[in-house]
Amino acid sequence: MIQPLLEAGWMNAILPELVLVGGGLLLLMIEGFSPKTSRSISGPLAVILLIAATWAQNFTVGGTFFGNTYQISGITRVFDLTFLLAGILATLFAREYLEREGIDSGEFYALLLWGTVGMMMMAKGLDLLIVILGLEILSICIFVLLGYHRRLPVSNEASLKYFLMGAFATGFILYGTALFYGATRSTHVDGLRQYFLTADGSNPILTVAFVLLVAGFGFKLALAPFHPWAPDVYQGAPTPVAAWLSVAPKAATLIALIRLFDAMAPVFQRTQWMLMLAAMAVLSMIIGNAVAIVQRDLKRMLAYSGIAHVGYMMIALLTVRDESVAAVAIYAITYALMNIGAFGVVSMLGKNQNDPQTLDDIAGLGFRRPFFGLAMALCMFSLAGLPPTAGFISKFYIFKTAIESGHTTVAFIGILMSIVSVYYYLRVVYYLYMKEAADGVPVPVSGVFATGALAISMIGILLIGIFPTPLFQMAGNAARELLRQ
Amino acid sequence: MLNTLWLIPIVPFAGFLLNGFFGKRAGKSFVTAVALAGSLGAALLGTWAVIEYNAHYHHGERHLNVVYNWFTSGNIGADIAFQLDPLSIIMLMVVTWVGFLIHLYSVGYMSHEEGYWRYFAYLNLFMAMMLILILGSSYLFMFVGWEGVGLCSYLLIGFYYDKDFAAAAGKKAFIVNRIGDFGFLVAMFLMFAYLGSVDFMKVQQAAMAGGVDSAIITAICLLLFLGATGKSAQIPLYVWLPDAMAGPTPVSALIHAATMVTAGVYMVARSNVLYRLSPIAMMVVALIGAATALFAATIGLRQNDIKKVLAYSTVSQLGFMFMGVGVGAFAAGVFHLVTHAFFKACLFLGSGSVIHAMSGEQDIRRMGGLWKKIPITAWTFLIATIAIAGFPPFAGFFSKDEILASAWSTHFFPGVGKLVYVLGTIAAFFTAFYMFRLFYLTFFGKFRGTHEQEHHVHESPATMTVPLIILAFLSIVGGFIGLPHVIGHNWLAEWMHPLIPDVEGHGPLHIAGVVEWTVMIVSALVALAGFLLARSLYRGRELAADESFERRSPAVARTLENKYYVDEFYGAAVVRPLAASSRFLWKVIDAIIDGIAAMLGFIVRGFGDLLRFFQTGNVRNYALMFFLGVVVFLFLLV
Repeated sequence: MIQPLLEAGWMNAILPELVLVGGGLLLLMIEGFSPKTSRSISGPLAVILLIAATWAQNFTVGGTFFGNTYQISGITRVFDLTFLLAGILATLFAREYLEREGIDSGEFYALLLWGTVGMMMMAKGLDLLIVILGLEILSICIFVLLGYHRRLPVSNEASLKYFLMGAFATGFILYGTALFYGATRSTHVDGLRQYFLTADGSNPILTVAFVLLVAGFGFKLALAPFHPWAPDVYQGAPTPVAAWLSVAPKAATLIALIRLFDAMAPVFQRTQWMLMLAAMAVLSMIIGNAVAIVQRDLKRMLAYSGIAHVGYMMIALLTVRDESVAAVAIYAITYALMNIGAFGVVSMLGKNQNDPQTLDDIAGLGFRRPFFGLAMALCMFSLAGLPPTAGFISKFYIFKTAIESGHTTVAFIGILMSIVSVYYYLRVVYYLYMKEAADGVPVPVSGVFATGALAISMIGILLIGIFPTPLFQMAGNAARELLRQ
Repeated sequence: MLNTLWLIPIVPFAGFLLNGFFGKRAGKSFVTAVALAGSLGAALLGTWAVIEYNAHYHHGERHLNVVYNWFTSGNIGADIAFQLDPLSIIMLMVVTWVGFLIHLYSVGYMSHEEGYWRYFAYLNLFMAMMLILILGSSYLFMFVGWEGVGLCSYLLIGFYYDKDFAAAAGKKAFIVNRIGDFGFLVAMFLMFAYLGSVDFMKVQQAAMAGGVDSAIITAICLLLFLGATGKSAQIPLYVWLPDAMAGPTPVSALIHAATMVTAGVYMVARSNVLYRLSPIAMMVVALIGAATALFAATIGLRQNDIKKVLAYSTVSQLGFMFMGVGVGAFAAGVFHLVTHAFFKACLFLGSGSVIHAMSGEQDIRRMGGLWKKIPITAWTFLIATIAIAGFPPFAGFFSKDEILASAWSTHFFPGVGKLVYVLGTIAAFFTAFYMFRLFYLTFFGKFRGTHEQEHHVHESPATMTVPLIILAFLSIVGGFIGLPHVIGHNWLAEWMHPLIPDVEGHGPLHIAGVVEWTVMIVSALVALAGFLLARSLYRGRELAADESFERRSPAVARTLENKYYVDEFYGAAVVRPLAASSRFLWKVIDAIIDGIAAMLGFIVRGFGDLLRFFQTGNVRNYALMFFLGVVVFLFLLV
């Protein structure tokens, strides 16, 4: 019997997506009919729409939809929250940034909202084709957002680089998917799971498919050795876009990988596939942290640090089980708070955006703009994994899970590298509080929206660090639910 | 109070918040009041809690105050919980009261500083973190305090950040400590994995129940000790402490002498069950302690900065404490921690008073003749010097003596114990010598500074001298809490006894009467010898002795003055290679990729023209690297 394509309740199921898609159209309309109104209200409106989409999560019902290709469950809600949080923070930072740079208009926010929809599709898609569809929606938004500062050469360059490399990566993903289909007769995770329950994974086509797929997704994650684009692109991008790009698409890619790896679990330990992931994780942690040490450009430093952080998250994914999924989910939320916060402070440095923002630009910031200084310091402590911040507890959880899964060596390398990382995070704090600003370095501008975003980051970092239990429970339950089927 | 132990660290934390947010605008008197209230409040609440504890518990049980469950995952988790037991109580009393005295002293010492509010905000934050460290009931919660005090230490060392070396010293302290933290963290993961908890009591029970591979226990102990060598400045991680003297002097007294640096000793004493299950780990602790004690003492012989002498002395005395806990005399190690807090805080604060009087001069070659000019400082300094040198019946004598006697009689490793004893006794001789050298060069002889300095020499205000007098008094009587049994009652050992349960095959340490007497007499004679030698060389002869030594054996003098070139060695062997490899990864790998790209140019020639306008990076190369990555993985896996 043929299943009906639209199950009852499908509208509810994708209510958050509908809010964002509709909202994005609304923003475009306003921009089209009254650019002046748009400049003043589209930023706040975008935040309201994102909050509405968050609220709409309450109306979604768990289950699978659209012919068993689209799943709503606890874990998708957790990741939706991560995307929406990243979207809200980036929007808040963007509002004043765009105004200052004279490039504010409604379509920026519309693209951000639609990009979020793309990520939600990646998180919920049970079929690889849905995931790829989401990925492409997301990528197109990113291309435009990266080049949004269209009079700046660096911004255009970032956009074109990401476009070319992204096209390259998508090719690998598509080819990998096709090979999987050839070998297993399915692109659906259930089909793959069925296949791997009986297969031994010795078919070389499978390995080729796996390598291509992981390489493609590894690009989106900025995972070594597929990372070199990241520093250039982040450096050139409008800073709020870099903030968003460094966090949200990575989270979306991780949840897609979680589903895939879970379906392959029976052969995962037997084949050498896990070794590839372990090698990528270790390489990312080492290259990311070591190279970040020699960076003076803040955005490049954060790019390399981001490479390392994805490395940490990959450690947990070497064995997909409920705790490791929960650990990744928690880490993704924490990372969104601290990394966007850090980029946000950088976005406030009132400097010609074509020039690099270096450590010298934040010298003495702790005394010139105490609130920004404090926020930056807290984000750095959290990124470095110092207690009692969220960064500590999340990283601790990742390593603990990895050791329990038996990946002791990789975990120890992770701990060691995270200790190396303290050096360059602390250097930022050193510049904030122990260096005087050089003559002529402008005092960063302040603004209500950015201040609000930083407050959210700081409260979140401390709250998760000090009272992690609610989040742990939510993520733990969601992860168990995901892996039970 | 017992069920609101969390209030104790909250009080100074509130002081930190108030001063941190409003201190700059609110003015000096507000800052002073908040800071003193923060530290005194913690001291009073702590004392209240101790009184209640004594009323409720008579056998040294642990009082646990769980605030909430921090996190749970699977069958393990950790609580935010504070505890009170004999060891925590000793630390609590020392930290809060000595801490308060140093706060008081700082009011006078820092009164002319521009960053007055910042200083007291950091100092109160430090108190809060230190209290979490000693009151936390699990390794994980202790680690929060452990990192917190490290951060405060970093901020306070770098307090005079306009001087480059101060900021660099702060960074060095933090980074060296992170190496130790690696050990601590890994030890905690091992505890979670093999002992199922990080709660002190549960870890202890799980270890005593047996069934855990002794190699694991040894690994945990050694990793914890790696953490301790960082925080407590032992070989090989001691290098940060002498540099830490760049911070304000009261900070050196509080953080780098009396409290934070003893955290490692506290941790080993706290983990005594684990250590006694692993005699090898204990031996490592004892030997590192003895080696550090001796090594640092020899460096102290030829330092000319008054604070540097005291810094190496601290490293050396911490070595003594580790000797104590290492040979199984946990109470003795903690005993020395307490007496050291008194006399070393007194010495540092005294040196601060001297520096204050000398208008900022720290070089003892330019001091001299201060005895009459600043009498209170001089007398208290003398008392503390006698105490550290180990003259009976001052505080340092009894604690050092108990450590040495225990080393001689330890049953864990009798032969090595004797060696530890010998090393310790030599170190004690050097200690007496360099301390009296410091004393004579500072307070006796002619004044060797400038006229202007001489004109300004003055005794410090009462907020500074009162803490000195109190600490000097404690340096005299502090030792009576732990008399050897041949002459009295060892109250401290008895107080600590419930914390040191019998572990199979390892009962309490027994020191024979004759050993006790012999060690006491030898120690006293050694102290006397050190004193007499220093007196004959430096009294009335100014710097002649140092100069003639330099003429006779220039190589030794230079080696000592340059601290055995350890910093240079670390620079060449660790720091520079690391920096180089970072640059290598960044630059050379890029270059290699560029090279390969050039060789394989024909593959991508088509793209080349299209992409020529790029300024930074090279998309061609990125694509190639991507491609190569895939090819390598395919090659390896298929």
